[in-house]
Amino acid sequence: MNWTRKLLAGVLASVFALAATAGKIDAQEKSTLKKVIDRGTIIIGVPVDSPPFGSIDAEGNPVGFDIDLARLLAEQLEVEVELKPMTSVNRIPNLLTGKVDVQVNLFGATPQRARQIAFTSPYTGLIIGAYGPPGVDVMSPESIADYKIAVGRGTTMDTTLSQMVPDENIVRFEDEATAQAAVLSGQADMWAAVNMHIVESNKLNPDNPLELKFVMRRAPASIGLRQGDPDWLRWLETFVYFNKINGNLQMLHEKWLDEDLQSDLPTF
Amino acid sequence: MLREFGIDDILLLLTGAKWTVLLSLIAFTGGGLLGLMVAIGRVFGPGPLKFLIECYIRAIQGTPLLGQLFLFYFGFSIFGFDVSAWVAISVAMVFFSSAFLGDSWRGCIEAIPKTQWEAADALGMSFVQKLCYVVLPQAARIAIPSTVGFMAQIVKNTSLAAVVGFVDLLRMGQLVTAATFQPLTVYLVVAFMYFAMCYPLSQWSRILERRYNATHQH
Repeated sequence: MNWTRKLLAGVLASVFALAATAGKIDAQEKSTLKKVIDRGTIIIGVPVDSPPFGSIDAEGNPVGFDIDLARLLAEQLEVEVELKPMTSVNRIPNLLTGKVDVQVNLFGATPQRARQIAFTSPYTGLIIGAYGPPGVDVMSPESIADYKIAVGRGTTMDTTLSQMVPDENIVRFEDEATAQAAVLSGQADMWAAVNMHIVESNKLNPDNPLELKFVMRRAPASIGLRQGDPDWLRWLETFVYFNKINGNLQMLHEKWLDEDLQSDLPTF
Repeated sequence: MLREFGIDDILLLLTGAKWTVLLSLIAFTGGGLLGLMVAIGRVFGPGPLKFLIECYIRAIQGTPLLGQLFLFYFGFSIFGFDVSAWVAISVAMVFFSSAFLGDSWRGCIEAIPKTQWEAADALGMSFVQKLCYVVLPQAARIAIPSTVGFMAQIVKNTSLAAVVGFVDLLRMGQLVTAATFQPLTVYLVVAFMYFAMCYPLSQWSRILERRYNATHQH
């Protein structure tokens, strides 16, 4: 009968899929470090909606602090680089399913995220806070009243903000760019953002300046990788440490952020 | 690094629009072919096949397209198949449109009165002849409005593909907004480009309806 044959084909396909999974698990026991060197190419997840860390230039190519750092990483590992742009929400899934080898993606280390992935020591320190136009009368999370605050879904700002103000005050957007658009167009009163985003925004919109309403917390950014891969973690830690002491990170800070590398960045 | 919105950005948005159009074409041709098989199998297939197709339609119509995109892109990787964003999105969009088109075309085929079948029988036609010369041409007329309407839906649904890193028109709009901080201008241009794609489709649907006089046939 036709349909029993179809059923059999389906069962065979599933068995094949399971076998392939087993093969994948074997492959993953090899360190990403070795895999990347063997392959000769590293696939790095980078931001493209979060200037000055990552955005697109007039030709559509990614540019920014994290993009330069990703290229530096590939250069020091002596492999070719493939940059994969992504949104903040799918950073962890892309890492866990092996679509990227590493995330150089303005990734804030939090205990919650560290349940799923591993983080290196931070390579830059940022401050996250709530920013809005002068007319918005808020000075602390307690005085937020009815004001709406826009945030990129699944970002560090989102998780931090969720613990500080009632959920009714938070408007979540798919990414930074859209959250930013909401505040600039008046759909939301404030923007929970990284200090550097605000510097950029104010440079381009001098007539519509956003100012700090309250600080949420310091938010250092780390490189993110899959857990259970000590060789890879070790190499990435070495990379961060080496470029802290040789001045490369200082140079990137001057180039993109117009400030110095913080001397008190923690080391994990 | 920040810049004013200019001609370069319009060109970037046009590249985004190009991918939106291409993905819509894949979804529509692939979904149309598979959808036709789904419709025919659902109406004429043997019992178990009908049941399987019914399950397929229910499963796809009952889950969000966003979830299907995630499943195809990240889910295949868990099972050891490394699929590119293009493949995953195309497959998901083809399945999605085949379920909707198949179900709507099934209705169109079933709407053809039994007498048409009997008349064709009387002429001694084979099953394939009855289908190709009598039933499907009449069903196609009824199907035009809903099918072309669904095409416009597909164009807009492609924007969901951004979740797995596919840079279509809407996602490109977000990226250009991030780089220029001019959301109003960018999204107006984006909206205009979507309109430029969908409006001709609905106009075309109206012309076809008039030409085949769908509402007063049979």
